[in-house]
This record gives sequence, C-alpha cells and structure tokens, in this order.
Amino acid sequence: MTTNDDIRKMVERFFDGETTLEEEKMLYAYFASQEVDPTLLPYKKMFCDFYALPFDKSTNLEVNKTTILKTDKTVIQEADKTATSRPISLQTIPEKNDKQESFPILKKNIHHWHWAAAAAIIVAVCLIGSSAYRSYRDIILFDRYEGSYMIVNGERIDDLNRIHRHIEQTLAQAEASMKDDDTYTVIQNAENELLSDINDDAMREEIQRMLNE
Amino acid sequence: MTHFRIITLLTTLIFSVSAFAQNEIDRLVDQFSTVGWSTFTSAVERDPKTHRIIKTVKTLETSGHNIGALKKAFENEAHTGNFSKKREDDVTKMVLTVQTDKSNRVYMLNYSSNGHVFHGGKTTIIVKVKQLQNQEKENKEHL
Repeated sequence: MTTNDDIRKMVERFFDGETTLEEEKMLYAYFASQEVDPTLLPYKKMFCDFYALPFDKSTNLEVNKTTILKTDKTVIQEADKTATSRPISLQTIPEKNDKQESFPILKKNIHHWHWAAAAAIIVAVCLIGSSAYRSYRDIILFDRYEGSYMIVNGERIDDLNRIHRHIEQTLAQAEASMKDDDTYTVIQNAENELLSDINDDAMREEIQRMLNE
Repeated sequence: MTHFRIITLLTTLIFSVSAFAQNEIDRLVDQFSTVGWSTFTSAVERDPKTHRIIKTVKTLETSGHNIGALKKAFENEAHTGNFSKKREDDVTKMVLTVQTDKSNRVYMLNYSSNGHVFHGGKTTIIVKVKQLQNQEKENKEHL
C-alpha cells in the first residue's frame, strides 16, 4: 500500500528525474484521486496537468482516464495493459515532438518565401533588361540622329524617341525626291540643250510648247 | 552696364553674320518654323561609326499665306544656282540646287494653288556634306 510518505519521496525523486514509469503512473493516479494529503495538495494541479499532456502519437494509445481516477492498484494495472505508451512526463517530454509539430508550418513558410523571392528576381531582371534595352536604343538614335528636332505649331520637340519615325520618313522622302530630281534634271538638261541648238525663235517656241503640253 | 552693351552688340553681330551666310530661303524657313499652323522638321543623319554629319534635311509644311513669300524667295535666289520650275495640274514644283565647297544644297518648294490663291505647301532643304562624298568616291576607287 502506498503511503503518503512514499508519495512524498516519489515526488522528490520525480523532480530529481529518478522515478520510473511505473512510479510516475502511480503519482498521476494518486493526485488524480480525491484523497490527496493536504501537504501534497500544491502538487496536485501540476501532476494532473502532466497527466493531461498528449500521448506519443506514434503508438496507438487509448487510456480510460475514468478508471485511473481510482486509487485501486488493480485498476491502474488494468489500465497499464491497455496502454501501449504512457503519458508524457517532465523527464520524457521530447523537444523533438514540438519541433516536429512546428516543422510543417515552417516548411510552408519557407515554400512561400521561395516563390516570392523567385518572382521578385524575375521582375527585377525584366526591369533591368527593359531599362538596358531603352538605354541601348537611345544610344543608337543619338549616334544616328543627334541634332534632329521638330517644331509643331510653335512647340519644339527634341526627344528622339518621340520623333525618330518622322525623322526617318523625312530622310527617306528627301532621298526619293533627290533621285526623282536627278531624273528630272537630266530630262530638263536634255531639253535645254536641244532648244539651245535651235536658232529659229519661232521653231524654238513651238517645240517648247510641245514639250510642255 | 558697359559690359552688357558690349555683349549685346557682339551677339547682334554674330547673328547678323550667320544670317548673311544663309540665303533668303533658309531665313524664311527658320522664321516660319516657329509660327503656328506649321510643322517643321530638322533631320540630321550621321555616320554611326564616326558621328560625322552625312546629310541634313529640313522640311516645312505651312499654310497658304506663307507660300507667297517662299515662292518669291525661290525666284530671288534662282540666280545663285540651277533653278527649275514645273507645274502639273494645280501643283507647282520649284527646285534650286546650289553647290558650295563644303556641301551640295537642294531647295524644293511644292505648293498647290488656284490662280493666285495658295492652298499650302512644303519646303524641303537638303544639305549633303561634300567631305563624305569625296571620301566615298575615294573608297569606291580603291575598291
């Protein structure tokens, strides 16, 4: 029969980490009962809380707590048969379990951070790339058309990015005009040469009229 | 105050000299480019490798009431180079080519008119730098 002195000694050994699993079960059962020595009452809540801690989930454990409330040793022994594990005590609370429980959440957060970091890198690369392309295009335009500008209804525009298409069109039209003009000049020069060879004024006027019709 | 007067006088002289270097067509184009209801383009084409100017093209699209003055300017400058005038339907085209030591300049005026009423027109001034032309010729000869 477990006496109050035995219980007191067991409590001391519990705090020194010297109790066996059987002794811890006895302590939990004792403090769960209604008959607790008044000098040991301060420890009742603590041991009840210990008893309420979750069991090791790796094992299939179902303990009938109502039967353990009885201080009858035989009931405790029966509970032992059904239990394949024991409640987690102070000595055996593994820090690993807490860590294991927190791991899934931590893994999720790390997963989200990976995606956010990857998206941020892609956006930064795109921004840098477009900025570099714009700078390269500005250099090309500057090299080819520096000094070009437009004045539209009195407003001067120097931004080559805005006007480069119009500049290119103007240069192309000028080139085409010069080619046309070259052809025109050749024809004109031929006509002038022909007319200058004609001494008769009337004939010259007649030919000129015919050429201009 | 004296310094200010000297600076003003020098600035006026500089602009006057540059104005004399231009012909009447250049002056009118610069003048009309800043007024409303006109579109002026100054296009500079450069060699990308040397950054040297190859060609400069100025175009001025303007309304009818400026065409009269431009037409007169072309006729006044006709004696400075090769001048030609051609009329087809209601469109008149004037071309003046001027050669200098440094460049060949082509002035073109296209305008539409009905009798003495001008409907609007376009003036084009092309300046082709001669130095590069000589270089191109030399390069072709070498090839």
